[in-house]
Amino acid sequence: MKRKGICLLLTLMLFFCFVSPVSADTAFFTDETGRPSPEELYSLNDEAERIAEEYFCGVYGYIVGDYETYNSESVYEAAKTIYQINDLGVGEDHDGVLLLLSMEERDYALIAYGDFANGTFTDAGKDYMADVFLSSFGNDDWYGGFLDYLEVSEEMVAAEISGTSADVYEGSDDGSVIVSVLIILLVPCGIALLICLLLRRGMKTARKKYTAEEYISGEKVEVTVREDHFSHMTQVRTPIPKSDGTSIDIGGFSGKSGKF
Amino acid sequence: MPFERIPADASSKMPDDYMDSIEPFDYSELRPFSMAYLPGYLADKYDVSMEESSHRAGERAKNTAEELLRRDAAAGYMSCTPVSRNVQIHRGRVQYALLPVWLLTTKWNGENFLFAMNGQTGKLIGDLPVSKGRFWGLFAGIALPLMILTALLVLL
Repeated sequence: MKRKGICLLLTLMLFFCFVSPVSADTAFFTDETGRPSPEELYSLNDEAERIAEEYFCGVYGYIVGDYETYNSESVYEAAKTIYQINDLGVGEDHDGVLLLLSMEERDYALIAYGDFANGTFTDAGKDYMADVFLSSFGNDDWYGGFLDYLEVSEEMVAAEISGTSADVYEGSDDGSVIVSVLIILLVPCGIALLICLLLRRGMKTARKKYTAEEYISGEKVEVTVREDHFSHMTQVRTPIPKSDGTSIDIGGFSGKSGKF
Repeated sequence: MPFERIPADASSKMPDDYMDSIEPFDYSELRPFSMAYLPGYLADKYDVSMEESSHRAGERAKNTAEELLRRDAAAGYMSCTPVSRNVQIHRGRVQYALLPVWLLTTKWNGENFLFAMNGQTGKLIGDLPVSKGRFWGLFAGIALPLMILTALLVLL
């Protein structure tokens, strides 16, 4: 009986050691400021663990008091430091995405690491994610914001695995077809009409004259004195277009940061 | 800036744009007027006043002066925007002259077409008739291949 009990206990220990290799010593959500409650944190960790096991990509969240504790350069660099010192990420490539909130000045950084994660969470994708969860953090809804973050991360990872892109609006397929049809119809018609009207204009040769340069007698007037007076300067700024890909730095990270 | 002998059409029946378009005339051939030039021809007397004619000629002179000054002032700059203008015209004499012009009117498809020729240089101007069928045919001939090309570019 005693021997059976020991065997059962050993079996159970072995079972829990092998069942969730991702979950051993991995805290997906860490909070240094006591903002989400322990139950909320537990729930977020559960959900993140599920995503990591299903998609082999870690989704991490960190709330810190002041990011300068980790790296004083910027919140983005601090997020990278946290990712590296905690050895975050799933698999050989350490694929994962980390959302860092720094409460001191309300800064955030959203970074991705690993080929799969960088390919999934593109620059446009991170903008899309930020649009989803930032408003919740702006209203101090920490649990809601992180839930949104988990949801949209799972959505993007699932879309990447299935071969579709999650950071495109649902209606864009219809919109792009209509735009294509309009371009195919209108642009050639516009060019053809312009050419025909120019040719037709050439058929009309009678035009009123508004100048009389041929009737200047003697020498033409020359401007001999000219003064320049500075009146104003016009500055033209052109926005740099956003790329469809991911801008990856030399450390292998990609990310964005801002205020929430 | 002196101008000399700017012509202005003094007959309201003659379209100004036609008369302007057949310029210039060679004034070295000018002769003093004589009634001997008119027998055998129907002649209309001028019906545009001297003030109106000289005003028109003055406007052309003014525009020319502005244009030449703008060209000089804007040299070396990408654009020139006039802030204010002050051009004064000192009018000289206004004289009437008979200049040789051939006119031809014809009708086609219910529309009248006028052609004018400079009697000295032979310069001919006029509005040529436009066939609507050929216009739209040319339009289709240009638009359709372009549509096919655009479709290939967009879809590929």
